[in-house]
Amino acid sequence: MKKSKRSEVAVTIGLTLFFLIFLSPILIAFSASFRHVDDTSNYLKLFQYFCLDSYRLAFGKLNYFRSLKNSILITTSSVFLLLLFSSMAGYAVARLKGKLGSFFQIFFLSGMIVSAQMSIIPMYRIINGLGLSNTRVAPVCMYVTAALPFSIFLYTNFVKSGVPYTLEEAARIDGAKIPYIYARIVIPLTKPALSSLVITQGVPIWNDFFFAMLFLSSPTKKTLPLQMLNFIGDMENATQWNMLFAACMVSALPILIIYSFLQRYFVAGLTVGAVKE
Amino acid sequence: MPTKKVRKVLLCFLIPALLFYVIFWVTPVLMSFYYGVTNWKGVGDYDFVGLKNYRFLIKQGTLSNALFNTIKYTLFVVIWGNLQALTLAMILNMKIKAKGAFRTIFYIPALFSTIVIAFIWSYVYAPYDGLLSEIGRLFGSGYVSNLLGEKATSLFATAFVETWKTSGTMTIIYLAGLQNLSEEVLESARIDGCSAWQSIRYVKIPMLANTITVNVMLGLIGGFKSFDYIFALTGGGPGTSSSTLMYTIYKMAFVEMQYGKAEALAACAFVFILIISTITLGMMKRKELEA
Repeated sequence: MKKSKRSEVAVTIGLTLFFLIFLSPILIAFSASFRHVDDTSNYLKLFQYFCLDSYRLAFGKLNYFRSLKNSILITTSSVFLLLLFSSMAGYAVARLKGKLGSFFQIFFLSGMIVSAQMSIIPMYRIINGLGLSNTRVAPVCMYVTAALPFSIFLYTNFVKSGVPYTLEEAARIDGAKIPYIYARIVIPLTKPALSSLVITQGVPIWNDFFFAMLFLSSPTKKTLPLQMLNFIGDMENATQWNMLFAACMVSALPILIIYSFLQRYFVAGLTVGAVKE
Repeated sequence: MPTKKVRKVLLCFLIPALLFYVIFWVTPVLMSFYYGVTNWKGVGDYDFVGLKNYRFLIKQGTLSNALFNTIKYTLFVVIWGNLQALTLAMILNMKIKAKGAFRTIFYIPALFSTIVIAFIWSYVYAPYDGLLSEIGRLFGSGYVSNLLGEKATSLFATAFVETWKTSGTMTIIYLAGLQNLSEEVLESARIDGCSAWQSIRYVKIPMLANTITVNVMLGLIGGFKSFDYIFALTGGGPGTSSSTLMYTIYKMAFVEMQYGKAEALAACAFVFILIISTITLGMMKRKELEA
């Protein structure tokens, strides 16, 4: 008993050291963000100062609250549409037995091969053609679409293994229509899959700068990660680092706050579909 | 078997997703295959040039360079990422009280935007003032890090950032897989006299086959689509030493205005990714069945 106690302490100390080193880039950036704006002396001296000047500058340059609002607007509408579309389609694919079902499953899944960089200009032209260029709708459309292949795949599998078909049949014998069954039986039973999609697809949408960069040109519509691109010139200029780090911290802040409250769901959401029960 | 009427309703359920998918995903891809056989510059008129773009990509070495860089990047992400995550998951799976806290902290990098991660790591790698150089000075070695600025290291330095960010996700997935292993099998392995290593090699790893598939596929997709860190950290350089497929396509289309050639490269990338993922998935599925 004593021996295992001692080895637990040793492992805990070892892990603590490892994580300190592992997270040191973030720790150092966090500490440096509280320095005076032009203080670039040894960054390894952590948390010796407390000064919010860098944050003040970063807030201004990011146009923080406006960008935050844009990010929230775009992410929530994308995730909402994604959940709606992928659950409807995923349910249909799972229940359309036979050739048609497996055709659609492969048809959607094959979209995972494609990466946005491969066809930017056609995407751009289509968005333009629909009169959506430089609107917040454009990145929303792209986020939903880019996330569909994986989301439909995950949802289909979840319905197949997690929603008993006999339950649906019984409801149908009682006279229930498909939309009712979808809304009242399938959706409640697939909550783990839906919350998994919110986490695994919502976080990358929140963090994405690529589609935002392509489709949002007016400053009033820019999202937080896109505003971060304004700092790209400061990367090589050590005198701007403190402000850059402050910007990094405030742009990550919203999601860190959400994570601190909903951590349990994050861990659970990552492993839906990844681990066979 | 659903009745005809039910099938019709189900097909209607597909419409919203199908519309978005066809308009914003499938059509652009088909259009780019078409542009790949033209000399379009992204604006203005263009002519049909047949396979000239493909010949150019092969002759100039653009294709092989982008392909090899992507393969190297992907192999690094898959192999190093999985080794690191599996090792950490096994350590975290021991009976440690602080396990939950470690897992929580470990996931933090995965929450940051890639652009933010790139900024923070550009500090780590920066010559003279950066973290690595600072540590070098601490030990009096006068080491000046220039990992991003040297041809031999720039690609791996960016790939390392990718594994650093995704390691939390991969570890959590492995940890869940390990916690799902049947205690009885592990116990009987112990009784049969398996050493710790033997039980990892012959019991745990085969039983984790499904989880390994997920993480390998995650690494493959991340590697094939690698763009963000290269865009923000190296710009594909120095020279073209860190230009992966996606970055080269982007640069040819947007910076060099050689849209036709960029799309020919995109078509090559499409075929390449399709072949590799099908083969890998097939192989892993067979292993899973054996296990």
